[in-house]
Amino acid sequence: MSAEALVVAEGLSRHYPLPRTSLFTRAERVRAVDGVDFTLARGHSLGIVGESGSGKSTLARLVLALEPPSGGRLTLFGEDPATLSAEAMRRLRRHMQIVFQDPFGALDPRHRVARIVAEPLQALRPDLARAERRAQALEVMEQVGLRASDGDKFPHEFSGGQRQRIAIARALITKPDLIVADEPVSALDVSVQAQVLNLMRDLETSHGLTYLLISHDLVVVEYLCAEIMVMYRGRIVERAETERLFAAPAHPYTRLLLASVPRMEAGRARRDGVAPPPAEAETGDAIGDGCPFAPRCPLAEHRCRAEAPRAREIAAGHRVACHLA
Amino acid sequence: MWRHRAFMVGTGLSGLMAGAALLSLFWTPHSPTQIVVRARFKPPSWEHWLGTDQFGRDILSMLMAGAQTSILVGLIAVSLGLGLGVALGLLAAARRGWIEEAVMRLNDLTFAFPVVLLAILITAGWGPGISNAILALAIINVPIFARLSRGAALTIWAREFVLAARAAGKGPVRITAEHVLPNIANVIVVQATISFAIAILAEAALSYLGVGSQPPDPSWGRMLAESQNHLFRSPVLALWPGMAIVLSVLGLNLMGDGLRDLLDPRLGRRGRA
Repeated sequence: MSAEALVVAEGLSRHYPLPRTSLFTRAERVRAVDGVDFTLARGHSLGIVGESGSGKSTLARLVLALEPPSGGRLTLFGEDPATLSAEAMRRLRRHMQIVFQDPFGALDPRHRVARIVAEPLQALRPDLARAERRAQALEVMEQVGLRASDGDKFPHEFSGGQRQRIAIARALITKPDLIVADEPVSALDVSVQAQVLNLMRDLETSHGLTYLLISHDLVVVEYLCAEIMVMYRGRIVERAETERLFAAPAHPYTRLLLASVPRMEAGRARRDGVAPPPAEAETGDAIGDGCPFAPRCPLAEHRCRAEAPRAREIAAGHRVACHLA
Repeated sequence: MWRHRAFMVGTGLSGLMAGAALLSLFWTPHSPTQIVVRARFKPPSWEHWLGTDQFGRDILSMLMAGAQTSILVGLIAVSLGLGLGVALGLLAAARRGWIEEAVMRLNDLTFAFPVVLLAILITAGWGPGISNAILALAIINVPIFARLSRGAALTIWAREFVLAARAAGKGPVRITAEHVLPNIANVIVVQATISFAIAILAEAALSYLGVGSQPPDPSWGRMLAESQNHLFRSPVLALWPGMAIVLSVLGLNLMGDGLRDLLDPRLGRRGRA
């Protein structure tokens, strides 16, 4: 079964209430994630791209069941996390781990590295003895390019890239199938980014990992993922195989993102003559029923402001939510 | 750690105070309570290092025994306030929603009472005495520690390593014990030393007002209050207990400041956890 579905999201939503502005009005809600459907198959790493505020990180927390969805259904490894007991949930958590963006904030400054790396084993594999947990931590540290002698140091003694390696080691220690990486390299220097991305790619093959990679950077996603989803304001606007998305982007927002990717080759810097994004002021909240991207879209028509587009398949495996695609 | 000068001085002063209190349990130069009518208002001498008061009691002995009272009050009041306050603060941070609301509103209510007023209220109910002064100070300390630890804990709960711990299957109790509490311990320790200093001041104030420790138990605050009647005849009577209060409060504050620096692993030397 090569295409076993690790994650299935159907109409997944997460809304946050805003503080009430008046006693007599209903509290407004932010739709951080708004009706997202996707399937993540084993061995088929998926990238999620979008600007800040598009709901990427909320989606990451939803997929890891760190937050309950406000609507829709989530299936993880064939099970619904909402119905699982705490014990079954812990068993499930062995199969999925997370790597965060900020290598400073993701490691407890008061714990030594070996303890940080071994932390998932503490709760998820209580059957292991302390010495065995430590041995496994040191082993996985060597797999990510750290020295076993680093185990007794504190996180502040490491550089940003090394800290991200520590975070990756912690995610690997339960031998998970799925790693959700939320902007894993965006806090790092460019030269270090490449090292960490190479490490992640090596681990993908050596450990049989599947990534759900979240980034605002298309280049990072292109490097690791077979397929890309583009998110805008909590919705998925386009989904396609990586090559196809780069070759034939159908949604105007995807084109905008691609146009803003800096490229070494001359002539690829601007695609299709899409205008640069207008000022933030024009992207106000009053989108009503229309397409969420309409206020910023250079191609928007009357219909775009009146009616939200539904996702449709324009080619095999290529889905777009745009009236004009 | 001995390079930190403020911490050194603070620990020295606090140690002096604690040492005096400990020593007074076994030995004082004279009895701190015995009245000697012939020896009233004696200036400092070999016999009485700091002189004697209006009843001929040895002032150094009284100061040493008074340190006992101050430490006892500070220790018990701060421990009670810290224990209950930190527990409530951690609970409020871990369980948001109505539990947090209830804890914090209860805090606001307690904050609204000045300590002296609360002590007088309690005294009105159960009579004056050192244990009621301790109770009042403990109650005042609860919301201070609850608010402090809730605020500090909330910043820790927002950190990504807590999310990582949740992804590692840990529940709120373990996260509080393993991640939140160790990371906020330094602010709590610093506040404890400051609260201790404030408790000493407040005990002195309450004893001065007559609702704290009762005669013949020696107390710095009551020494100060009694010296007031003889201020023109012997002004140094007010000086000694005043100095004792100032120096011990200063010492505790300096020690708290130093502890804050020394408890940060990023500033400390390697190998000290």
